Amino acid sequence: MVQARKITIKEFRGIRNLSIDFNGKNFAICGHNGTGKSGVVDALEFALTGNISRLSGKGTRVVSLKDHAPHVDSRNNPEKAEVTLEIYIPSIKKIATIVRNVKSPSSPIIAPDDLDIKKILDQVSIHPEFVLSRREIIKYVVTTPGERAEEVQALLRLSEIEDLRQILNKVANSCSKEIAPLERERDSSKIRLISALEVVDFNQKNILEVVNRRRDTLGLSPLASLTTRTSLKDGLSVVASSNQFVFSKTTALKDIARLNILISYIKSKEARDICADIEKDLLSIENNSDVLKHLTRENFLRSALLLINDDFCPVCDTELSLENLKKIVEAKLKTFEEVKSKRTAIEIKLSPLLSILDELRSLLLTVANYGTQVFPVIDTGRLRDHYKIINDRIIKIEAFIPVADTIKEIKEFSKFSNGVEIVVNSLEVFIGKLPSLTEKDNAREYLTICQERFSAFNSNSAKLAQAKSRASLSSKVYEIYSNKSTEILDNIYKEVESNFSELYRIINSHDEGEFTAQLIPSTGKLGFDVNFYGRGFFPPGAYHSEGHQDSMGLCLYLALMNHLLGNGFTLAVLDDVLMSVDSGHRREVCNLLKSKFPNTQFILTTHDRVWLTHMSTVGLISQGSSLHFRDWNVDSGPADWNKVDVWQKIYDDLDKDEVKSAAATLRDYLEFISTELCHRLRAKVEFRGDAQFQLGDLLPSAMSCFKELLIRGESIATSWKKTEEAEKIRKIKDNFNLLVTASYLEQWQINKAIHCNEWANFTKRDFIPVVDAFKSLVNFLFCNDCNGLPEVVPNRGEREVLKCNCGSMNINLKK
Amino acid sequence: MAIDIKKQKTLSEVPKKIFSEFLNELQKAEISEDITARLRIAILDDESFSEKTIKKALLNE
Repeated sequence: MVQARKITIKEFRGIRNLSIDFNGKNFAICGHNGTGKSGVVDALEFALTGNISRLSGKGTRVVSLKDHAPHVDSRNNPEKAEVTLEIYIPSIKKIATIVRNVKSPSSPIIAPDDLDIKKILDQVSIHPEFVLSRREIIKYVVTTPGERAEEVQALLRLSEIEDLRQILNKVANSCSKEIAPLERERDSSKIRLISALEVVDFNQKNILEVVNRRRDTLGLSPLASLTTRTSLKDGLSVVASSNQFVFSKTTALKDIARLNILISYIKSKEARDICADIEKDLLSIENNSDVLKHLTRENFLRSALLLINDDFCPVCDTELSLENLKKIVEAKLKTFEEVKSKRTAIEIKLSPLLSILDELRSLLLTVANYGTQVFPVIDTGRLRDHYKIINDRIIKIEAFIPVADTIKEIKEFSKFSNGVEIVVNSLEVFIGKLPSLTEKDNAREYLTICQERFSAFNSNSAKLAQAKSRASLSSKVYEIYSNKSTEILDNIYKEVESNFSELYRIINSHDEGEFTAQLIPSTGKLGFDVNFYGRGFFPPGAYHSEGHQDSMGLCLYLALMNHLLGNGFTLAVLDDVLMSVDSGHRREVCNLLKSKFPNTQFILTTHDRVWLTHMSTVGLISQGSSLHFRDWNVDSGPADWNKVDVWQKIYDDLDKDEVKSAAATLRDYLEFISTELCHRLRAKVEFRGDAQFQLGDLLPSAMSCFKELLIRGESIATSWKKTEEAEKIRKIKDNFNLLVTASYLEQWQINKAIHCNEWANFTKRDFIPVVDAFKSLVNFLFCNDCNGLPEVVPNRGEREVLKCNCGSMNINLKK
Repeated sequence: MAIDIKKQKTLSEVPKKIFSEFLNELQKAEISEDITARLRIAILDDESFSEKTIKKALLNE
């Protein structure tokens, strides 16, 4: 992975032109809502991946990268929306620059042209998860096990594991589904063979006995054994036949008898009752428009899954990655589980009816053929017509959809045209009157028919055996895959679970030092329970506060990233992720990030200045590694207090006679500077539980604290007989006092006329001296060399030194 | 230098590990070498996860 050194953002989201030096260090961006913080986050993600998750994730159909990533005024010029990011790649110790614009997001310009750099950026581009927002935190914690599994698997890039599991499962299911119709066909051919053989028990001994008896009649050698290759009529072709027909009278009469039995059954009350029961089930689907709609959609989606093999939708040809398209369809299919189980239950009831129809279809054709083989020929067209009807019926019932068609076929199941029975009866009478054949001819016909049916039976048995073997193979492969993937994933989740618990305990050591959690994977799901103060394991949302849930989300994310990237976890952009966490816990979060992830560069955004202060106090971010957006407008984008010439803006407003605007800016700026000073100087400020400190709470305290520190510094320098040093401090103090006096600051609390609340009502002429006075005062506080504000060191305990960043100011405060 | 992100192979370490161990398990379970070889090509070399490809590799059809 990489670390961010510098970013330049042009005409992108709410930003017109902004550069930030991250220097590869932790960095914080603070600002009120709508000041452009997330624009920087989007720019980082875009530079590294060519995408912006929040413009392309769930529920973002109406927005898109191309249309909405450019600044609103450049929406028709996506080529102007450009992000340049300089990165450092620790693993290969190289620096690179990525320039990417919204017009060609997938074709960044990368310099230098280096294969190692390209390889690493390829990896980074598929890891958008280095950006984490609060929205994303919650999806790991407060969500359903199914959705959590998807999110975690997506984060860990495990989606292919589930994809393959589903495919293997589907193949195993489709193979096992092939068995039932083949079994019906095999059984049907077996019945017909048994009928021809005239045996009760279908076994090798009996078959050889009846066959060899006929072979003996014909003078053929007996068969010693029976295999699928055995020809029952072996040697028969050389023996002349006196039979004028090409079928056996006995077999034909048996087939006709069997056909009549089937017809009788189909017309029986038993069959009608079964059909009525199935019809009732089918009607319950048919009459429920929602279920029917879902069933139709489920069927459609199931077919769609079979057709998805390329990177486009098989229906509308829309370009979509194969993976995304399948995910969309599979997610939709999951919503139809209930309908699927209803369908399966009915299909089980339909199975015996389909077996009867299979046999009927086969017999209708066989018996119809007898009609064409007698002389004079008997018209069996009705049987052939009915064969077609039964064939269509089987196809429609097997298809199940449309349900209306299945209902129609079930209703017709017991209806049998009298015409069919008339033809069958006349054929039976005709064949019955045919002269009996000689014993030899009978034996010949017997062996011929039996061989034909024996071949059909063998062929169907072979097909069934092959289907069973495929089903067994695919099911075994699926089982091996499931076991292996579960074993490895279980270990991964155990590691993540342990790391998560450890990280969470660090944040909440004061009251949840014994905290543990359970990540419980199951097929397509990931349960997540946490221990609630030793009272048992519950879902995170059950008893823990929202703040605890936020920190759980962050810890789970960090544990997952630790597992996913290990030492490669070098960059994380945390976009306002801990807004529900209280200040005490935020400090611990800072400690956690600093101590447990020393090699990860965190870029954090927050709207809370106190949070920013915590980061600085704990040392998560160093001096100069933060940005404070004071304002944003559509024309100029975010404005940073440190980088904008505030005074110029105020004077510009006054030139336009906009005193109100100038007064507001001055007040905001002084509030910002006062906060910084109070923090740096450790000034005493009246405590407010809501942390809503106003300028009147801060500025006088900051100034009087600075003055006291100078007095103390001068006194200590004098006591150490450092006359020159004492004189230098005295001069600073005197100049500072003059500036404070000029600003009327000492009268702040008593003279309402100089109070900032009144500034907006000043005339331009009255307000200019106020601005001048504060400008001089504030500028005096900044170091001329490093441009930093003074700071007391250390930030707790006895005050030792008052210094600036570069050391130009270095006043000893220790006696 | 333009990078064509769309055509990159994206299989990460964990799936690779699972798939490799799965294929090794197939050999131990005496699944034919032909089947294992075809699955290895489809899953690890081509990273193709369509039902059609996997079915073809598994059932040789």
